[in-house]
Amino acid sequence: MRRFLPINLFLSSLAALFVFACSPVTCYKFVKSAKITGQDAHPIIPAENALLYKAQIDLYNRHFSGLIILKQLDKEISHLTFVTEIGMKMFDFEIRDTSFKLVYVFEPLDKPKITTLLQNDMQLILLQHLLNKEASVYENKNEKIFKVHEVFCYYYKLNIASKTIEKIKKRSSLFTKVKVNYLYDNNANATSIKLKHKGLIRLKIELKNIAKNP
Amino acid sequence: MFKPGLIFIFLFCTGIFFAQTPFKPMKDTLAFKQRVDKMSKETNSIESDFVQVKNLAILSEKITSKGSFSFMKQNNLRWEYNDPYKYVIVINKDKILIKDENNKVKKYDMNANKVFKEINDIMISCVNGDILKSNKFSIYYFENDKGYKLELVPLVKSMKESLKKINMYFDKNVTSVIKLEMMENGNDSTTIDFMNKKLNAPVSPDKFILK
Repeated sequence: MRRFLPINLFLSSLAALFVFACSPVTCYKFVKSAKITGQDAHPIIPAENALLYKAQIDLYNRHFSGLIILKQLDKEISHLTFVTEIGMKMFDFEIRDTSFKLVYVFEPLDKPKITTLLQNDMQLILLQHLLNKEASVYENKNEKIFKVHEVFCYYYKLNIASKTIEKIKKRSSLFTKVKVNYLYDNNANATSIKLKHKGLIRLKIELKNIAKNP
Repeated sequence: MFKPGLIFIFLFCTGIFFAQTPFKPMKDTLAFKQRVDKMSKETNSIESDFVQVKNLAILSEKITSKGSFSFMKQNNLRWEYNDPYKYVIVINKDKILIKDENNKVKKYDMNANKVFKEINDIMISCVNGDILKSNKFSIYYFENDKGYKLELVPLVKSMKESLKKINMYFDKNVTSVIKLEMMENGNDSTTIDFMNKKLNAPVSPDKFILK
């Protein structure tokens, strides 16, 4: 019995270290719970301009390359549209407040497993799980963390000065499932967006802004 | 991606800017077909620049990309985008090769994939003129004082779901296709204008190899 003690101690320490080290809010102080709006964090789709991205999507064993256009049509409706370099539209999502509707998908991609995965990740990229949702707000000197608890836990790291979301982690109870990283220009338009799944789902999305106002 | 076989229909063409005036139904389609047949037989290689304009219904402005195009008989095509992104598609006999901005080359075996096989068949039929005899499109012939226009309306179900029609424009001398329009369902469209064409100039075989 005695000889197991050091092992137990070691495992407990390891578990504690794991839990604390991996918690995205470890170094932040809880401030309040609040509904997060576009005033708190810049939406990814700007209100007036469209954004054009070169897109690389690796989904299981398939590689998709093309252009993604983010466009706010009016106060309520935005679109996320993916076309190939040679001009063929592959999918088009219509975004209304909290709804995210697939309005077009090219036939070879029209499989529930693929469209659901794409929809979930595009929603994540566009802050659909954050804006107009209740979040726990944590803060340190330069950054805030918004924690939204739905089926999964969503952690959004905000640069306080620019009000831009720099990182997202989507976590299950133990593991990070999806990570998103953003870079911005001076106008708070996202110039680079990288999303990566961890675990069994092999999906990677990389968006690089190639024109500010297509 | 590359199920979108329809798009590759474009890959055989070259030309110059073509200003549209009203088109009327063509009077002598037989003579036109003979000229296309002659064009196909006499064309061993093509090099050209192109400007592609994507018109999305949701965007007020258009997405313009530019690049160069090369063709060499029997079955070699290169479609290279330079601006605003780098992207190259090469058809080399029974292989499709794609190179993106990361300089990664992806190879697809045409014969192992029936979609690519279909793409290839369509492209070859464009090059050799057999597209005019194709049973995959209904073809409508038009002309005006400056040239000719063909409207290709897909008959195959998988094509019809995404593509309304393809418009092909020829100059009056029928030396090559000078403009293509791909009209999609949902009011989106892609237009490709070909310019600075060189017919039957020497083309290096290296153009159709990607490493």
